[in-house]
Amino acid sequence: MDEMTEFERRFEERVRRFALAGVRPVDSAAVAHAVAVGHTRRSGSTSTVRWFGLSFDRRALTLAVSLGLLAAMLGGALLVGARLLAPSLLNISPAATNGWIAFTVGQPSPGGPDEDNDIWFAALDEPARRVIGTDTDGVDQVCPAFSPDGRSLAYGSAEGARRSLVIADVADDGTVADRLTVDVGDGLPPPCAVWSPDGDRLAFGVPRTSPTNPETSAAGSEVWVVTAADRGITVLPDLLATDIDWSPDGSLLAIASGNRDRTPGNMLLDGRIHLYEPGSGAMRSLDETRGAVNVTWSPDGMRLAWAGLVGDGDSSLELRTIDLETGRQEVLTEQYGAIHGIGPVWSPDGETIAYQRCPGNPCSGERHEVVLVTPDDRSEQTGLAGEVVMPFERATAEGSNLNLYPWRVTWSPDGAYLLYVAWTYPNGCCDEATVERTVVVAAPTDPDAPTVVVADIDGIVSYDSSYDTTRVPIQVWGRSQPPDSKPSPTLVPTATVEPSSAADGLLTGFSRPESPVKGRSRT
Amino acid sequence: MVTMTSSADENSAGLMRLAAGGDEAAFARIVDAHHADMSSVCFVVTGGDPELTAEAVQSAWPIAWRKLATIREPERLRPWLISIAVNEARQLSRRRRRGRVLEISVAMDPTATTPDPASRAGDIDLHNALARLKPEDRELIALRYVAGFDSTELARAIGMSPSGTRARLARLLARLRSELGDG
Repeated sequence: MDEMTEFERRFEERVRRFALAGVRPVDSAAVAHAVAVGHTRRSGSTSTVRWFGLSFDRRALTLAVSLGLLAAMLGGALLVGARLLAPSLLNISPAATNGWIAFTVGQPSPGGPDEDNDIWFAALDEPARRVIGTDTDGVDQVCPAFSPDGRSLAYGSAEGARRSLVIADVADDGTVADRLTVDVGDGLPPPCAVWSPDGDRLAFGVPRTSPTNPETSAAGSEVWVVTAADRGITVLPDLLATDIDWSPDGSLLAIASGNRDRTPGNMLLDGRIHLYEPGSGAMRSLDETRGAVNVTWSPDGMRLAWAGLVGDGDSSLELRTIDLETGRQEVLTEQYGAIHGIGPVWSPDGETIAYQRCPGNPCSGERHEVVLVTPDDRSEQTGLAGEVVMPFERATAEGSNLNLYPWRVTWSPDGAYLLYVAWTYPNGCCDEATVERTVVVAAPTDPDAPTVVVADIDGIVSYDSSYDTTRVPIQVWGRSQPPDSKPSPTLVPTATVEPSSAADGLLTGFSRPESPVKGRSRT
Repeated sequence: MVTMTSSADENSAGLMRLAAGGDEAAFARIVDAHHADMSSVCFVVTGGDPELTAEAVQSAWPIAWRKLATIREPERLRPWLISIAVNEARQLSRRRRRGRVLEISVAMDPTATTPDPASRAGDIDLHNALARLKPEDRELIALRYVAGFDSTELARAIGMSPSGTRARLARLLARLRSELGDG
């Protein structure tokens, strides 16, 4: 028996002995009675059991896997923006980005057992450096997202119980100065915001307990829309949002959300896409998109691509598009599974959609493929879109090879590159000698072109971030609006969300909660 | 194909059916059978916090009561219950993760049958080492070494691949070995 195996055996004995200290005598009958009678009631008509007890604030925390988290958080890291990289390496349009790539790094806090998450910037021609946070500030700064003009950075902050969205100014040299703070609420996950393409608004999910979702570990139960200029807040309650994306002209916010429950595999049931128009307050549900979990707009604003569950209780997904003028849908892919990774993200040029899927049926393993599909190049035989699977192993600009298992992927502004936050295994994956690192790389969509390692430092936050959420990807890079984009289709509002009563704006497709939650507007 | 079913499974299946139908006595037997298991696993996930442990398990039972009907196979009951409790424990631990002073009790455990000083010191070391881990890491340790989950069950419980759980576990063990020594 080798030393490690012997250690494991002794460790198991010790931890089992330790665990016994947590066992306290319990009156089983009293527990059963309290659960069955004291805190629950049964619905006479449906046999549904509803729970009305215990601390709801705790449940809010449980809800915490969120939309808000939605995303950027996710991989923890993320990026965004790219700096005027060396043209010989990346041919990224200078107009589309400030050149910086932002991501989260979590390093052990010297004062305690927790990681301290800070925000770092890197560029292809400059090493990574921390720009927000310190080792000793005791504050988590996560989910950096550059504004479309690259002059501002939004990020989520967690200081003690306080959770807030911070918007900071970004100077050309990459220095950052906080400008305004929006408090979200105590004890929730810090917000991960998505900028509207015009830079006027930010949207994010807030996983709060609601009558729609009293206790399950669902995603964001509210979506907040914040006006950057005056910090005005509109709250869209009673959602179980799993993804959000702005239309290219910023007039509509697409929200993938359900209204019922989650399957045991943590997948949303009865999801669909809702379109919210901040200008009028109108909200409309696209009932044709039943099962929607993730959503992305086409750059011309005329279509949505969405990943949706094929059936209740089945975790298989299918990638589709829907034309917002005609309602015509196209199925782009075979059914696939995914444990983590991004949903569909449309390339800035509109020609390609990237998503991640888990090979195998049933889905297993962490080697999620990055797949590029071409929605307008579909097979006459199958009707499915042409696809290219990005290789796991990529040659680097330095001449070595790197295996990459990306957790999060987004596009460069010109669509020529994919920016990964990825695990890599220098000694091969995944036996007991595995050494795992997380890196940020720019991988050209040309599989044979060299990949650029943007950052390789200890602590880049990946999937095991303390604030991780699963799925709910959003794209935060490459959101420049093409000059020929068309205005989004006009919604015919069937109801209006008043600033003081956002709940009234939830229309078709939403089940009314038993006790409606009032929306609110704050400035 | 002939499916063999043990009488224990049949008993469990019967209890589950009755409890799912609202039978308190049947549910009490399930509580009796699994409460200790859930508590010991949660104790590790919370880093040795008895209050959080009790709160986590207390929160888990109403969820189990409500969703019991979704579990069909008796052999799935234990891992399912443990997963619910662990999820609660992890969330509670995350919530309290910041700004919390770790208190290590140095008082002798009155229930201990062998108050061996060396063993006690070892327990404190272990307690400290676990407390330095993230709740997600403690979850992995607890499910593997206390609950006895195999890679497949671990993968199902925490939403990772079996190979991924093995890799992470190996890394965690290496870290703990470094912190605890070989003992």
